[in-house]
Amino acid sequence: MNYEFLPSVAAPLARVIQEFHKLPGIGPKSAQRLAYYLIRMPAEEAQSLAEAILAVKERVTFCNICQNITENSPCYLCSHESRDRSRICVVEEPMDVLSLERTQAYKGLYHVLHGVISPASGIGPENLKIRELLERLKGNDVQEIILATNPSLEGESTAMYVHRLLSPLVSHITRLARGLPVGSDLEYADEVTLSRALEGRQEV
Amino acid sequence: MTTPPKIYKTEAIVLKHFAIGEADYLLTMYTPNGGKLRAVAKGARRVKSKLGGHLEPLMRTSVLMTRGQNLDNINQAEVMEGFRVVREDLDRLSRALYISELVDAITPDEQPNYPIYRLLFEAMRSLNENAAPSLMPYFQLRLLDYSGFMPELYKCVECGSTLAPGHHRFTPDRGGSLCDSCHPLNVSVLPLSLDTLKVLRFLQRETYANIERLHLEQGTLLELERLMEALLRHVLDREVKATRFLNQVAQGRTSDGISTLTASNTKG
Ligand SMILES: [Zn+2]
Ligand SMILES: [Zn+2]
Repeated sequence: MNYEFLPSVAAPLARVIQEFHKLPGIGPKSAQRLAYYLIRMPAEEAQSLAEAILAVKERVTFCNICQNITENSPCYLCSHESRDRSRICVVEEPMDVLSLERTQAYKGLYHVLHGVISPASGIGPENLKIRELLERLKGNDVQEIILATNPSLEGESTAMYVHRLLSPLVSHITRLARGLPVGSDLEYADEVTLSRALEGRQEV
Repeated sequence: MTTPPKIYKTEAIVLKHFAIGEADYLLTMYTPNGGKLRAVAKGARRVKSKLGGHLEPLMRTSVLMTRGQNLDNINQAEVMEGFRVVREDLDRLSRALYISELVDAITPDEQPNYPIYRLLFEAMRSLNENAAPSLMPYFQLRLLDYSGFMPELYKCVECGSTLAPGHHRFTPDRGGSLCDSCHPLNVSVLPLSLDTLKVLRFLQRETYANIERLHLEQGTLLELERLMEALLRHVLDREVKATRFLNQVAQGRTSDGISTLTASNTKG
């Protein structure tokens, strides 16, 4: 839908609808709803939203070590003295770092790939931060790489590809255990998940 | 005219998925009796979804669907074959991704084509079991055949004369072989050796069981690869995107894969 040519829609409104429509997961209906919400919003809230959007573009950068999104490079985690520098956990997205940090079970460093390999969508290894990971390994004493991509087809492809590249460089490469999610039901588990969960069984 | 049932069951091979909405997937699947279908799997991205692990790309799955106004909805899914060996081996996986993209690229929506379903299924099984090198050219040639683009391999596409035994040329633009006397202008031409021509004819007529055992020389394989790639590019009018990853994986196996990362940012 092109709102610019609809005379019944005020031009500034049409512009904001167009802009919202460009965001991921926002269809034309949602874009309209958000735009009309903006109009009813108090002026200071709108101001604050606009500033937040500008600030995120101006002040946020990539950490030159782990490639996570940060205000200062190196990021908080990479500059923290208590973190174990011999371990790197490789994840797809910055959100995954947050999830793993919430567990408080991991004390090493991270590496954010910013995506997964998806050949049919035109995303290959060269579009991810894999080269940066290889650079990072040079001259650093890394004992373990933990591949923590999602257990999806794209996540698995990426893990296998990274594994193949890193195996001559790092002695210990591990993959997150894949099993049944908490709260799931054996009856509905697929054969791949079930067979992997069986292989990963543990003494109780 | 009878109205089609509102709820129906089919088996399908998932070609790809695309995240939409909060937690849904838009799936592209190939089915035995309905051809290529698109359907929505509501909530499939949630960890606790009953659908999730049953609808991953490259799985053969049995689905229960409800007809919708635009897209059909998937109510239930149960995986029939997960092709786990393919999923856990980079070489096989890169070939499977190529195969699924090719089927998606060449087939129109909702046009039943049982031979294509059988071919896709056969290819996934073969990749899971032994991954014979002859699989890819066989798959490409047969897919072209079942889509109505079988290349001419017995006559000259320019003058119609029967090819004499010997080395010839192939023109992807005209979809077939050229005799030694014909030199049409403005068409791309590739060499077609006698060995490659024989292999192509063999792939065209034999069942897959016989083709699996076929031994191919490296040179013939390479010539076949180039020929098929050129023919597919002509038919699709674009590159198969997964070709790039296929080559990157193959290069990583023989030399150092790091070079494929550094020398690659020239093309988006
Ligand atoms: Zn960092
Ligand atoms: Zn001729």
